[in-house]
Amino acid sequence: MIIPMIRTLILYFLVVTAMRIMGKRQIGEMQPSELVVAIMISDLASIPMQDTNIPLLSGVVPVLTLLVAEVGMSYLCLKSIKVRRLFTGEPSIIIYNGVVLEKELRKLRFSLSDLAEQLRINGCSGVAEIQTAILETNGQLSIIKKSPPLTAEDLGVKSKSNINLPFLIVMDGDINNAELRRSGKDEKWLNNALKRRKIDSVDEVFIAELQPDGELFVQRKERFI
Amino acid sequence: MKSFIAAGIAALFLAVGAVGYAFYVDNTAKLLAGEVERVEEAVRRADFDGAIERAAMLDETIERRKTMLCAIVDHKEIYEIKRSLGELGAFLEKNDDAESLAHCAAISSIVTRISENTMPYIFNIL
Repeated sequence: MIIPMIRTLILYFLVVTAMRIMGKRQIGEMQPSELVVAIMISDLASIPMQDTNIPLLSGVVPVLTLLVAEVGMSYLCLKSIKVRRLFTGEPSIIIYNGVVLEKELRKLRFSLSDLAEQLRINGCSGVAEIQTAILETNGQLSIIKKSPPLTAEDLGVKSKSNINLPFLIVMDGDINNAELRRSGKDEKWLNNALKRRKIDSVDEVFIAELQPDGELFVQRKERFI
Repeated sequence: MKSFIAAGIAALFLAVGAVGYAFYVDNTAKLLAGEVERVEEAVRRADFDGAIERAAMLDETIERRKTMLCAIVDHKEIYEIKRSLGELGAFLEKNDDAESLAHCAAISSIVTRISENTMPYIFNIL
């Protein structure tokens, strides 16, 4: 009983020290290599904790090796852009000038649902209010909004708060019937709205978002532009 | 800056430790293998009293190096050697040369394996 306890405490302090030495980035947002190191360290440290037949050094040496490798790689990434690009990748622009870049989303295997989720997490109601969105190397989405329209506050007028979200009614050529029903519209209305924009069929649409103010934001698929 | 210094110290510790570790294990393995050989020679000469004395010396050597060995080698290997040594002692008491030599070979093989497992050979890495 006591032996696993002592080993666990030793390895715990070693892992905490190693994570501290590797820097605050480890605790916050992680690059892919940092995530790998964090997972490996926790796995390696747990093995000698559980099996007292394995020497303690079998946990200590791999943890120290990973620490040296990670700090070494961080140093190389600092000094060389090529190495940095190789190990951490590059940020990707997925919305540019208000247009969702379909090819980029496909390349990143980032679905529209993922995009909508990230936008909501970032406090944005929908795609229509985004000027530029960049998917960073650590998986976070950075957003630059379009110039905000005048609000009631700017005019010095009181208004009820409007926390309605837009309705994502078409995603990659498919109608989201639940969202369409929730918006109070139907397919006939949608088809008419698309025809007004000279779009013959829903299949041509990459994204269609009905704003709370009734405005329909539509983006065609690249091959139909 | 502190991270680089700490990583540098860790790298130095690993490099020196690796060399020292390989040297120590190899040295201990050769020592133990030599002791086992002396037990075997005594058994072949049918000098079982001498063999029992040699086996006791081998046991003493293992006890002396046990702490260091347990820090760097799988404990099961150490226990395996001790177990085989115990069985060897019993067969030596009974003057059983066949079983004694078999157990000497088993201990020798474990000791050789301990030494081989620490070397950076390709089959160890794979």
